[in-house]
Parts: sequence; C-alpha cells; structure tokens
Amino acid sequence: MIRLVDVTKEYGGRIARARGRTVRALDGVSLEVPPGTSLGIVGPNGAGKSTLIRLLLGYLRPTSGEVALEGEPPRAYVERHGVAYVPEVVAIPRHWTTRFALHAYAALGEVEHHHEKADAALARLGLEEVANRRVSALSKGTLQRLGIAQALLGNRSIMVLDEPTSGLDPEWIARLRDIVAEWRAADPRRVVVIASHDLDELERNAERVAVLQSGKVREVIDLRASAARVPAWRLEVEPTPGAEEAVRAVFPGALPEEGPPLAFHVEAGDAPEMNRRVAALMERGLTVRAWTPERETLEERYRGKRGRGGKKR
Amino acid sequence: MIPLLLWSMRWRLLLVAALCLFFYFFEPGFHQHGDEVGEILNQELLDPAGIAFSLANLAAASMLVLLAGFVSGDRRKGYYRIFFSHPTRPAAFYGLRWGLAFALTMGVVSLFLVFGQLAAWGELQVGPMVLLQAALFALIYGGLVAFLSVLLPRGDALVALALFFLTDWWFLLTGQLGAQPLPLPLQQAVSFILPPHVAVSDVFSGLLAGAVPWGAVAFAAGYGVFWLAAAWLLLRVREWP
Repeated sequence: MIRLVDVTKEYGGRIARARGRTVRALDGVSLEVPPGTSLGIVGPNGAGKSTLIRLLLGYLRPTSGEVALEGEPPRAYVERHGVAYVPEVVAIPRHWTTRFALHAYAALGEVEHHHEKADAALARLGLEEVANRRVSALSKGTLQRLGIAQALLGNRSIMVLDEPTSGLDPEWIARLRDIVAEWRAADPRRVVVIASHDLDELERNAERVAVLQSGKVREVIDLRASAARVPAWRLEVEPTPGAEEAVRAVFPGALPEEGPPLAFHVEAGDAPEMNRRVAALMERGLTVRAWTPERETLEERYRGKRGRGGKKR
Repeated sequence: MIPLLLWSMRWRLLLVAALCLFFYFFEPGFHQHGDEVGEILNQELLDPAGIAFSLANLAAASMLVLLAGFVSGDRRKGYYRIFFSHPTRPAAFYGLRWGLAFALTMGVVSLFLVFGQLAAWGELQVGPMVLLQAALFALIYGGLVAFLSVLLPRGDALVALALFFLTDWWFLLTGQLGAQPLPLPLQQAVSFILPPHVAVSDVFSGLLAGAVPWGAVAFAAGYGVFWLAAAWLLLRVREWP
C-alpha cells in the first residue's frame, strides 16, 4: 500500500548544494506499510518525521529514492483518491466557521451527499455546539477535533495522522482511538500511519513502529511480535511462612520485584507452562494472588532502558 | 464548490464594491456632466468612451483585491495541507478561484458600466466595446498577481500594484516626456517586461477609430496568459513548505 525505497530528502537550493550546505532530513529510508496494517513513526525532534509525512502526501519530492502509494507517486495518488490526513498543526482559514469548514472540505473532496457527511462528522466529533463558531475562536482541542472530522469525510484507504492527540483531553484521546479502530474496521485493507511522541498511544494504535533518528530508520519494532513473545511473568503470592522458598523451588532464578512483598519476576516460557508451575505452587499450599505477563513496552524498547540485574529499574 | 468559494470571497467583494464607489467619484471619465463641466473640456478631453480607462483600472484593482494572497497565503499559513489532502489538483483549485475572480470582475465592471453611465448621464452613451480594455487589464493583472502569488511568500498584490504605478510612470517618462533614463536596449527590455499599458491604449484608440486592433489585443492578452502559464508551471514544480 505504502512503500518507501531508499528515500533521501535534502533541503537547500542549488547554491546550498554547490556549497555543500544542504540539510539531509531523511537518509536512505526504506519502509513498507502493507494493506490492513498500521505503522507508527517515532523519533526525537528533527528526526525527519514531518518530512516523511510530507513526502507521503506529495508536498515534498524525494531527493533520491522512491515513494509510492498503491504503486503511484504520492501526489498523483492523493489528487485522485485523497488521504485522510490530520496535520500536526491544523491550519484552517480563521474566518471560516466549523460547519462551513467541513462543508468546504467535503465539497473539495467531492464527497457524495457532502452536506449530510459534513453534519455527521460534526456530530461524530462532538462539534455541534461550536458549529457556527469561527475557527479563530476555537480552543486547541476543538480545532484538533475539527481537523480529525475533516479527515473522516471521504471514503479513503490511507490515513495519515501527525501528532493526532495534540491538545486533546484524555476522554477525546480515548475516543480518537475508537474512531481510528472503527475507520480501520470498515475496510480491512485500510492503512494508518501515525507520527507521534506519545508512545503509549502508538502502542495502542500501531502494529509496527519505525524509530527514526537523524533521518534514518534506527529500527522497526513489531509490536505484535513482542506481544506474542512472553519471556517473563510477574508473580505475586500471599506472604505465608516458607512462601519465598517454595517460589524459588518451583521457579529457579526468580527475582524479587518492587511493590508488594513476595512479588517476583519469574521466567516460565509460555502460558501453559506457567499455569503448570502455578498449580505446583498451589499444591505446596501457597495462595497465589496474581500472575501477569511482563511485556517490554514500546517506551522501554524506544529508550533502551530495560535492565534487570536484580530489581527492575 | 463554487458557491462556497463565492461565500468565502464575500468580504473581498465588499471591498470591490467600495472600489466601484471610489472609481465613480474620483475617475474623471464619469464626470462629464454637461452642467458641471464646460462643453469644450467635455468633448476635447473626455469622450464618453474615456470611461473605458476607469473600467480597466477598476478591473485591475478588482483582480488584485480578489486574488491577493490566494496562493501565497495558503502556502504561508499552511491551509494547503488539508486542502490538498483531499482529491484536488492545486492547479484546478487555484484555477477555479482565478476564473471566479475574473468572472466576478467582469460582472462587476459590466454593472459598473451600466449603472455608472445611468448615474452620471441618465443614459447609456457607450456600449459594451469598452469592456474589452477592462477584460485585457483583468487578464494582465490577474496573470501577474497569480504568478507573484505562487512565487512570493506574501505581498503579491502590493507588488502588482507597485508595477501598475511604475508602468504608468515609466511610459509617461519614456513616452510622453521622451526621456531616456537607461541605454536603449535596456529601456526597450524594461518596456517589454512591464505590463503592456501602451498596447491597451492602442486597443482603446483603435476602438475609437472603429476597428479592433487585433495585434495590440493579442499582445496584451498574451502578456496575461504568459504569466498565468508561468504561474501554473511554477505551481507544479514548487514543493510545498
């Protein structure tokens, strides 16, 4: 669906090039977003996220390499099919009203029954109360919701979200998650690209996350694979006499965890094996409070802070 | 889309209406009232067809007002990001806005021609032939402001307005006053690059003489079309910020 092959983007005109003063925003980036998947993009400021998204929309052209949406150059694809796009800064003419903006974008996108669609988007994003308010009078969060509403107007196959939770309150962040999930569920081929600093949101919305650093892809984290892989568990037992020794007997190498007394980091492989060992603990008369898989979070992967030489940091 | 664009241009149209009043009261072409101005002055200096210049100036001003910042503003303020994420060709979108501005300008100028004459003289003394000059000015300055709007980050209409006054001053200096401020080839080059006011004057003279000077019409129209084509090409080539 989306393919970037060895994409490099340099900023600077001919004079800058002649003087060797170009700025390389992307350097040999290759990514692929197959149909029906979602890709998160994360990285520090200046890593090239915005450049990557502008390349996807066709607002910029790569200095070298290839960007293709459904096999077409981005601008040609967008001009023909459109992309559900929420920019990082939602810029809408300030004198327009909320309703007028949605009607204008619906008309621009040649959306069928555009009045009905615009009104439905107003309702979906809770904008009815501010329908006749000028864009200049909207709060940041409301403007962000308007940006999301316009992205939902057409029947698109690709959604590109650039910092979509910016300015949203926790309730609307959760609703946005539902909206994106519903949008994807309506057509299993649809793809979503989300650039965000909010690693928790990326973890919830994306299946893979590309980590950009200094214009290069540092790694692509497959969140589904890390979810399926459960290397360790967190086990809590009631603090009864001999409990700790029993745990160490059933789980050799168990490490005490922070938190309540008698919580351990244990390694037991897959869930059936864990169940067997927990049953063994119970047979020894222990009361097991809880056992939960310990997954490496995106934040831990991203920051590389995972460390377990005894107690977790 | 057209009704929405018209609605979004409503404040600019109000400004154009205000310009109509300005042109009516301050352009001498409309004040050849027999009662107010001597007959000799009337006939010698200001033939009724002289209002063609008022109309042309109004047409140019209207295009500048309706199109000021129409591309540069979108680029600078980032409005294009959402506009062109929808299935829309920038050239078609801005072309439509340009076409609407041209149509509105000619509509306003036509109304101005009729109601201006009726207000000034109580009758229609000149026909629609004077609209040709207005159409040429609308094309020339519409083309120029379109190119400047794609090229510059801001100030496109002001630059076009400055060119308008510079052109009048230049042709007064080099034509009527016979001055030669630059070496001849350079002077000719400047005269060629500046908006073809002389060609439009030739159109006016030709129409007064009863014949359409097609060469002058083609040159003036070609000037506007050239800048429109340059704007289109630049729009396709330039990246968005």
